[in-house]
Amino acid sequence: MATREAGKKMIMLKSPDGMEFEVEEAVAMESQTIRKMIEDDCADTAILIPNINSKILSRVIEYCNKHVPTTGATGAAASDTVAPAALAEDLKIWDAEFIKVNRATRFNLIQAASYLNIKGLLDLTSQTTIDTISDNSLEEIRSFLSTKNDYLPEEEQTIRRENQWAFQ
Amino acid sequence: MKNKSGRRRRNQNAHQKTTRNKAAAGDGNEDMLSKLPNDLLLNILERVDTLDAIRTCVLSKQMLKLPTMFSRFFLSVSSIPAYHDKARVSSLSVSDMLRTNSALAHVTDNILSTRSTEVAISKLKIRFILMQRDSLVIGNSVARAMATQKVDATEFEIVTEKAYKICSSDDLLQYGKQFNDFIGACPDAFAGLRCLWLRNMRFGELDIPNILSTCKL
Repeated sequence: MATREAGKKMIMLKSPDGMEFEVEEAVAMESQTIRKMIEDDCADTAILIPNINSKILSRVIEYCNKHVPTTGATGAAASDTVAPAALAEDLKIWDAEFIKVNRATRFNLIQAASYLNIKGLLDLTSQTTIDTISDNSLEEIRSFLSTKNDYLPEEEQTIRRENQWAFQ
Repeated sequence: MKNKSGRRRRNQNAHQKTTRNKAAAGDGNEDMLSKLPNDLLLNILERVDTLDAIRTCVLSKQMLKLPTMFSRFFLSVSSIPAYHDKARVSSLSVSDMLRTNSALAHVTDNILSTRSTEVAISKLKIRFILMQRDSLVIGNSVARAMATQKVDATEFEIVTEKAYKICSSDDLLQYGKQFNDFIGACPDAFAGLRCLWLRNMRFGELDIPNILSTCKL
């Protein structure tokens, strides 16, 4: 632990579409998956992140950049003057802006957060996905979640009969 | 690069886990909710109350099997769709409420008896109106679940047909009696409770000690 200089060491992340992102090790380690790779010494030159394209990966890095604890030498000036509560409030507002993305991007972010094991990002994306469910009709939920109706007509009848309360 | 040899040995397990995650991550280009892997869908659906989650799952055949894998439940009579609509709530008649509560009891029974017993229940909270037939359905299915599955942290929140404001003395006594009958009929469910919420009930002197001993508190 003592060998690591806070915020100094850089890590190269590569997306499958060939883009490379140089990020601080501390930022990359917001991802528990990458943290393990680094601790496992699989990260000598560059880490290939499979399944996550550069567009999504850059958003994920943006999130980690914002959420990395600013206790290191570089962030000291900023965090000294701001109270923790205000900082948390600021993060919340930032998160709300960050997650204003289209459905496809959000679902991709959910998968990326899961694969990279970034709990905060997984919570944010999942909660945003579910937030509008309670107050909407089934058709609204269906379109919001872009879930395809894959029932045959007679199957749908059975489902409706068995779960009548859900279709009120 | 520097601490290579020592670290590698220590983290072998971690590496294996990482490799497994990689395999499970799937294809990143889908945009349909139901194409997400089950563990992610469950993570999303368990954030809302169970009836809303089930309403979402009936949208597609592929998602319909998910409720059998839920581990956290919040089944509430207040979350039936008709209750979301304020205008409809104010015009709800007693028979609407009865129907609502019956649906809740039916869903509770159905979901507890058809779920996969391999998935332990980590939380089970049920909010229902004290109505004899529905309460028995709920009580019995919870007792059965407790006997056959791993169930942690069960809570009952029992409300009454009338609000306190419009309850007469007789109503309060009547609700108290109804509750005593309920707990007498399903002692096993109450014995496994973590938490019990009651309102609008008036009890006799010996009732409370009885309730506490049935709940094993």
